[in-house]
Amino acid sequence: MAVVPKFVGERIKRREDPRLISGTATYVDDVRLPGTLAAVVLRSPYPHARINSIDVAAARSAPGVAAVLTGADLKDKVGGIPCVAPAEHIPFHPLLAQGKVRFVGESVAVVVASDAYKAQDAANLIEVDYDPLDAVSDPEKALADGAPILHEEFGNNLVTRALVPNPAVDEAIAKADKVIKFRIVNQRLAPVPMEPRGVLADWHQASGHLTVWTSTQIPHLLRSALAAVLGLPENRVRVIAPEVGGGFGAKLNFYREEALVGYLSRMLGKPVKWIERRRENLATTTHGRDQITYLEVPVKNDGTVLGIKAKFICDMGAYLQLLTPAIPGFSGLMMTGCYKIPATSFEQVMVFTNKMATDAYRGAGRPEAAYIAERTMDMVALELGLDPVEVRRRNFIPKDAFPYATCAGLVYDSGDYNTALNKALEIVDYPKIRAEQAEALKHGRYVGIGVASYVEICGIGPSVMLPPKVPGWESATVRMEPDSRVTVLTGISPHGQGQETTFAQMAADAFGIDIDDVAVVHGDTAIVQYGVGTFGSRGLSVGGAALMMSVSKVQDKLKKIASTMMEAPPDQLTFANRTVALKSDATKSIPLQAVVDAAYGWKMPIPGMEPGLDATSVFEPTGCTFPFGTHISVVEVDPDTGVVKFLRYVAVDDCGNIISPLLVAGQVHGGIAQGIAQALYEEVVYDENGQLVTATLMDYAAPRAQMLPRYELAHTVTPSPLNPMGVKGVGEAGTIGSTPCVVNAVMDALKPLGVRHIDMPLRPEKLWRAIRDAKKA
Amino acid sequence: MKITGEQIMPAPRQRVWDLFNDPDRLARLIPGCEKLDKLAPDEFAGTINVGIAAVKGSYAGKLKLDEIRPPEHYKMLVDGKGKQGFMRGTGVLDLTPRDGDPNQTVVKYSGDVQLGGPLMQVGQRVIDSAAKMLMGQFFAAAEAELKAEAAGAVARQGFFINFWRYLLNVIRSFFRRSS
Repeated sequence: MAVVPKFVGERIKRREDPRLISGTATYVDDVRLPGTLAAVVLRSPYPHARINSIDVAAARSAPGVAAVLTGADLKDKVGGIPCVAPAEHIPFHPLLAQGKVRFVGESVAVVVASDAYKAQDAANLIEVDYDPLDAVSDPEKALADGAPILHEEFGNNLVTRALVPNPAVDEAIAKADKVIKFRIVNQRLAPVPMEPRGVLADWHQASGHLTVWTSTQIPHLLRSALAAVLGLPENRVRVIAPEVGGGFGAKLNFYREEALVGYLSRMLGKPVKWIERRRENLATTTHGRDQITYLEVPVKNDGTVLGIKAKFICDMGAYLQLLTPAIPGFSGLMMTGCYKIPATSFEQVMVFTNKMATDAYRGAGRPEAAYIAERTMDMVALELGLDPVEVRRRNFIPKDAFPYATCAGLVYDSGDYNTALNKALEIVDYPKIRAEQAEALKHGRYVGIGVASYVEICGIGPSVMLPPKVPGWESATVRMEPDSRVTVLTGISPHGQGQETTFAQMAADAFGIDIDDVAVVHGDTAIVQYGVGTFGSRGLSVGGAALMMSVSKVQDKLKKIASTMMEAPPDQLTFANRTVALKSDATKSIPLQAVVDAAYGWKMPIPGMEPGLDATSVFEPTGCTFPFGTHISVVEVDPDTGVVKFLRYVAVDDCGNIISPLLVAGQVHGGIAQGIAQALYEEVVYDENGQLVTATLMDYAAPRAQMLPRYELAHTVTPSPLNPMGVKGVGEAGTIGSTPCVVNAVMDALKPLGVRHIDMPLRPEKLWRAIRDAKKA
Repeated sequence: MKITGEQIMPAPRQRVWDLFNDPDRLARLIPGCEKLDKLAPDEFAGTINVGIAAVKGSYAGKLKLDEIRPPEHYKMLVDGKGKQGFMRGTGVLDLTPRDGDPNQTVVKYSGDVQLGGPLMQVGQRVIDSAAKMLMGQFFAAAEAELKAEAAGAVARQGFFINFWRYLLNVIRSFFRRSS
């Protein structure tokens, strides 16, 4: 028999990809049920308006129309969209506007018809009489006297105010050699998954069962929320996340349309489908970031940072989605980055504005934090005339200090920041590239070198890190089938991450079988035991740890059975090459299939042992993992056009042990692309009246391939002690390291002109103006 | 969106003023105007049909006049909406006789318009130039109307005819300037 190779750590191609690249994957819109009706949502063109009346008579009698609902039809019949994160003011979040609209795109009515075209035609016949109100789109103006108030019941636009004071910071400010003050903005971004949202709901009247296919990252949590909103028992609701074409945090949520479509299917007794259009996606799928931070940084003249005092203004939008007010907390906690900063304090003011809600977006709070920490390091270097690399080295948490408790109360599991930095400097050849930069300047070329050493939180996380209804554990079932093939049921819900590959690698190695002998099943609440979902780079470190717990339970049972068959103690046995063999002598073995036959057979070799081979486990991590790394980019800014060109991009990431190198590289590539997008291109823009200006992909500048550099990737490996695989997570790292790295590089390029800071995105026009103004001065 | 501009009309101020206060004639001159009714001396209601980028649609609205000082000044408050969005805004119109030629009138206009809905979301890249084009069409038609009125005839209506007149005027003015 051919030898079964090892899979963990090997460059295995993603097993998901053939169906994705051949167009045979099944997304929500590919699920076709006979007699399905289509829903179209009528949305507000006004950012803020009172609804005087809605006339749906013409729409109701339009051809093919099955139902037209407005907010009044739903009043007191269904619940609202939940926000599980704590906040001082949590408004009722209706499925359809109740008397008032608060952002452009807010759902006002829904039309169900035999097809989407008829539904849209009928929606066009609905007459809504709006009474426009003044709107506020600037979060810094939302709390000013006289600002239009979104939710009158609160009397102001405050969501919540979080204060983490620390008198030591003020002492540090008083005794510092210098206090550096600046304001930076993490602009509002749209996650733009390739597949927009989509929902199909099918109510089965006779059994009282509701089945919902939806494009989500959290099928189980969504089932709980949906059952609660619709007033259905949870064991009568089945949520299926079929192929999901990207989420980036935007689908770590529960949306109005998911509840609406479920309600409509039940009301009409027919399947109802709603598929989001791209313009709806840009206007009504959660946005990310949108934080303004005022910083005061006391430093010593040698570059030692003594503290950080920060004030955040966080724009939450008009309503709170599932985790909206929880996201900024991560920014406050992580703003010291990989530095030994003895004192921090921060205040976060979260406000309502007439915009779509913000929520998690790839990195969720940590990109903002890394941007703060890494811009701070460069500001310190700039103000004190030091090399940015030296400032970082001076402040790094030393590698013998782990586990390291930060002054904000987090415990970093493991780290070695200097090694990652050195490796990146070596790859880029730092002294040489600095010399080249100086030479280029002599010829009027503005070359910049940007360094960012990041650390972030992954493997989210222990349940205490999260709100009560979004726990931090994860589940996995491992079942060895009678033919000795393995089925893995995981509670995570991959939507591009590739755990069908990584989990199969792990299970195959554990049982000495081929990767093709492992099937990984996820995303169906009727098949998979309750789980939490995929977000916060937790798939492998938490979901994989649960998998390994179940794997070892099944291994133990197999070993026990095999030990009676082989007359050897169980702890002397191992799995290799589809056999159970003696560790000391691999030639002494029995086929795995023989052991499996015994386990499923009519006569168990061990009296009293339950037949079958499956195990379910839940892994609750004791702490988060903290991956880190250093990214270095070299850019050139064209002074005549303001266009940024990449000369080099080096990323050294440490995500602990690596199970699947190709998948890690893919995550880093995509992450860097999204981080560069924030640094240079993307911004959701609402005008001063609250109108969404970036409503199409013509206007929202998601980058294209030619706008991105060639990536030079490398790794250091510092295992995490918190899970059996020693992994940390890599889903968001690229996004977190790249944004400050690129901004630092551009600012470094413009340093000779006296430019200190420009807020993102660093679009050519903005840079061109800054260069022109600097040259004038 | 801010709109400002200046246009010279080939007629004395009073006649320009009369034209700009006559809903029947304005209805013919405003591009895409389907209906314009005078509800009160200072209030009009109407419907226009315009397409900007891919967004074509009909908008119904009200136009209220304020600060009326015949024959030199008024302010307009516009509030219109349709399936493809809405527009709200104000505009100011000032008429002054042209220096040295009382038979010509300088029309100065400025406006601040807020747009919303698909009209804004899809059309915002081209909306400035579209607004300029529509203003151009309107003034070309108004100019033709005033000239025809002077000649005792009534201007023929229609987009294409007005557009050709507009082009013709542009070409003529080009030659006037160069000679």
